[in-house]
Amino acid sequence: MKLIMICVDDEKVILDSLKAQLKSAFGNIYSYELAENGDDALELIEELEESGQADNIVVIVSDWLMPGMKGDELLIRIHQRFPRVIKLLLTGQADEVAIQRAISQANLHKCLRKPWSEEELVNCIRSALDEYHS
Amino acid sequence: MTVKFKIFFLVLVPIFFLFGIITLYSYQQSTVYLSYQAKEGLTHKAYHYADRIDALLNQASVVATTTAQFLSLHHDVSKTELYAMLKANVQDNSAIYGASIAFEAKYSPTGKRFTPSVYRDSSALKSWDKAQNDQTKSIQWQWYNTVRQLQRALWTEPYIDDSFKAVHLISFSIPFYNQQQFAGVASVHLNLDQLLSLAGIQGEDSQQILLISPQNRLIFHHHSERITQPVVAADLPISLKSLLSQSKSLQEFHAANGSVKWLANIPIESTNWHFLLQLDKKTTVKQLNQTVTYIAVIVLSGLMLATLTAAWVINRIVNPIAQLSKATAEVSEGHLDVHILTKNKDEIGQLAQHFSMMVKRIQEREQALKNINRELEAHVSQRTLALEQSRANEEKFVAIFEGSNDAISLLEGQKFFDCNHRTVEMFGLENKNELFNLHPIDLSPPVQSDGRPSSLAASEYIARALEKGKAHFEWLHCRRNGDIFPAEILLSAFDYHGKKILQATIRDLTERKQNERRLMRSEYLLKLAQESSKVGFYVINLETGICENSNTITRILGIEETQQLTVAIWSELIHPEDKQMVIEDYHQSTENKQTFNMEYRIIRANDQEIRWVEVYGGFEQTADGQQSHYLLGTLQDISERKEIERKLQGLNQDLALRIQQRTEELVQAEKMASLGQLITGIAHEINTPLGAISSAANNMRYYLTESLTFMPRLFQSFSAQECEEFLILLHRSLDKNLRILSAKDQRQNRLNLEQVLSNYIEDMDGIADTLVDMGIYDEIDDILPLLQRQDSTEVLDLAYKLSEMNKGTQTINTAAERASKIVLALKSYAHRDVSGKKTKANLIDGIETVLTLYQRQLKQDIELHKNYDETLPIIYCYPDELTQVWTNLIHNALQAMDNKGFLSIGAKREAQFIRISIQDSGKGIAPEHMSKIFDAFFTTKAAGVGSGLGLHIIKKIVNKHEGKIEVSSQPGCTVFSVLLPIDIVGEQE
Repeated sequence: MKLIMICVDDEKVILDSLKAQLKSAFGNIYSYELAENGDDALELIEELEESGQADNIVVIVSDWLMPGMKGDELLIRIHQRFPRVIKLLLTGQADEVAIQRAISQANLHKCLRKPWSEEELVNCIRSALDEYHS
Repeated sequence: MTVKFKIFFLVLVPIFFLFGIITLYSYQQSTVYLSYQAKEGLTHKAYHYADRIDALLNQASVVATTTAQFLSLHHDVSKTELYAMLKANVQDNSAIYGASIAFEAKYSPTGKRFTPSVYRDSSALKSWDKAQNDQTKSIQWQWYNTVRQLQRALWTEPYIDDSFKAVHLISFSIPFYNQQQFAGVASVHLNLDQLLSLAGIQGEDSQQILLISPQNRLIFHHHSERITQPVVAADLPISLKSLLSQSKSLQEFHAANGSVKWLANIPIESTNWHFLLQLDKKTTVKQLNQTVTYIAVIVLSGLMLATLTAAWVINRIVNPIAQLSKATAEVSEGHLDVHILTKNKDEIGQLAQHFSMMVKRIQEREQALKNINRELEAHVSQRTLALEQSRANEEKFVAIFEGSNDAISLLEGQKFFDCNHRTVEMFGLENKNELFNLHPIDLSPPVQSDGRPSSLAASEYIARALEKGKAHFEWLHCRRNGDIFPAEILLSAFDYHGKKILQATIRDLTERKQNERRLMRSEYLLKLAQESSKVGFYVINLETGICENSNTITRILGIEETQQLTVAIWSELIHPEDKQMVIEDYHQSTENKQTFNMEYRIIRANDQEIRWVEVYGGFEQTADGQQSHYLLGTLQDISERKEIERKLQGLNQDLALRIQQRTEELVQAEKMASLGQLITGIAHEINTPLGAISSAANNMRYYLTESLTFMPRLFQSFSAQECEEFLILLHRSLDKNLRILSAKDQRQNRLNLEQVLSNYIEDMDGIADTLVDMGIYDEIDDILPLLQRQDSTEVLDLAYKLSEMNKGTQTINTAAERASKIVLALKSYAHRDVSGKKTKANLIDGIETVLTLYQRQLKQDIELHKNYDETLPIIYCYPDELTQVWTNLIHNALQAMDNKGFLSIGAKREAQFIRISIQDSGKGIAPEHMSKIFDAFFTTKAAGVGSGLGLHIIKKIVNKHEGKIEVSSQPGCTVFSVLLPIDIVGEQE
């Protein structure tokens, strides 16, 4: 069973490019799941739980500004059930209050500013994964 | 009140009314009593008849009973004996019409059915065997069958038996027995008509009788066919049963024809019949009432007659007394020529005669007194006339003397001896006597206005008056309080009783002198006013054309002071350009005799300078309200005012221009302010596609490098077939790139594909994911061989990379398009059309531009509904300004609902307008703000947040389009509607 990375963003283009970047960096060792908003992401996690793969989730990268549930809230809710998962926030706006909340309540690993650099993203996840596996 | 009336009202009238009331009461009582008596009579009569009928019936039943007893005891009675017995039965009893015996065949003397019968035929008796006679029928006799069946005596219901001559019968039948066995029936038959006449019912009574059997059959009724009919009596519409069941012997009921009837109901014991006797209440009561009424009328007539007689008698006695009383009254009032004529020789007659004599005496005495009086009166009136004439003369003089407004005094020498009241008033004296002690000099200041001493001057004037008879001069007087006042004095001298008397008439001139001063002052002031205000006045005699005028006019017109102004000279001075207008106005006013007011230019005579003048004019009104031929008016030099007005106008225009400029600047500033609010969001909007482009470019570079490394080697290892398959794979991937799936669908597809692939490939590590990324998730038969290769992962990886490069270009395209769309929106938003002309534009495009800029806000918690009528025409408008309208309205809507809620934008055609409506679910506008929202600088936002110009500018822009803006607001639903006229032609190019 593969380890899973989840990307959440309301822009399909962003999602696709995120997945492409992650896939080219981390290859087929991981499976990459995508969701277009917070609710879809929670639903996806529920499905994975049903098929017994929930423990395989290792990384979640979420956009902050999305219709409905915001990124910080999503990460907080995931953190309550999967505290070990590495959580990253992508944001175009500097909503410091939301970021602080995510840091304190969701153990946010890193907040990346849009547009992000692929290198920064990959390095960030890689270092977090090293920490995770050790 | 006279004695006569007293007797009438206090005695006769009460007696008349008392008797009347008693009569009426008795009348009422007797009616009730008589009606009761009538009822009693009815009941009594009914009892009487019922008893009689009962008695007759009893008699008949006894006959039948005796026969039956006899037959029960004697069983061997011969036929002859039987007939004889029956005959005796009928003969002995007048009520019995016929008698029969019916034997049962077993006990019959003949050995078969035998019914010997006897009945009255005319006066003779007829006998026969009824059984034999009626042989054709089976035996159906009521009087026999019922009794045989019941075995007891009974009265039958009424019936008609043909063999008994078809009369109405009733029978009494009683069984007899032979040794306890029923042997037959003995019966007597009664004729009903005969029965009633035997009972003594005759005449009218027989019309009102009813007999009712226990079975409620009508036994007798004079109207009905009777006997066989069950009772539905013609005259008894109410249920007879209910009538009969009542124990009351007398009842009242309403008959079918509406009349009220009394009904006596008496039972007849022997047969249980009801004997009914009825009486029409109305008829009966009417009869009774008539009788009573006659009596009452007679009584009342008697009463009336008695009253009238009494009245006549009283009148006879009282009249002479009244005459006498009247005469006495007249005498006491002084009318003595009264005559009392009475023929009566009684006490009253004598009284009248004595009275007449007394009156005659008084008349004689009075005549004598009158004569003496007349003489006295003549003397008195002569004297009175003389006195009155002398008094009238005196009063006239006193009135003139005292009523004069001038002080008049009389002097002898230089000493006052009389004066009028006005003199006392004028000099402030306490009374006349004070004057008599004064010398004329005491009432004057020491020196007169011409400088002469008063005493000298006074002596001179007095001397002149005495010499010439009168002197008239002005004088300064002095009141007792020291005030000096001017006066006019007339001294007249005349002889009176041999003495030389002077009469001094003094007129106070204080008031006149004051008026003269006032007039002079106001003339002076008018002159000053004219000169300072440059207003001159003129009077034109229209008949001569000559103009009288003040100096001011001379100066304004610049003519010589010595020159006589005329209408001709004046009109010469009018500016040639104004001349026509002035002459027209002037003629119009003079023709209509109206006042006029004109402003025009003149060319001043002395220095040829052009001056503005204002001329008022109107016609002089004569005392009788007519207009004379004098035109009066003023002329004012208004050149300075005109100059100021001209400058002011220039300033106003300048100001208007500057306001317009400033407003435009404000509008642009407001536009930029809204733009500033948008910038953050727009930055993000541009950032997103930029990020996508940069990441896609990176990926493409990476994939290209990777592909170039692997491609040659892989292609060398492909067979021709595999080459083909690889190309198919690539093509499919490239073709399907157009289809964009949601992340969810993509995942579902991947799971499905994994399911399918698991049938073919054991280790499909990431194959399905890659394929789905490439857009391939079904119909995998074509490419299966490739996937089943040893190096399938590498093959697929290459295909994936190639397809990703393609996808990258698309991503870049899409992102670039998006960014440029935003840039375009920004550009068109910030655009400022300076041409000031309307241009053709699609309103929806404008709205969409604004929505693009607000995409970020809308994407969050706003539910956006667009409701566009796609067929809207393209109209001429100011698109840039409308963009500002939409921006402001959408911005306000979003702010009103804190970026959370429902936003609906509609565009539709409405007659000659396009209606754009923007609806939000925000908190709404408070009613008290509603009237002010379009005012400049009105804002409910915090200081610095809103300029308060937004809606004001919108209103201006909409007005510029000749459109309308409407607002309706309540919490949760605020709608701003902009109506723009459909202008498809536009202005002149």
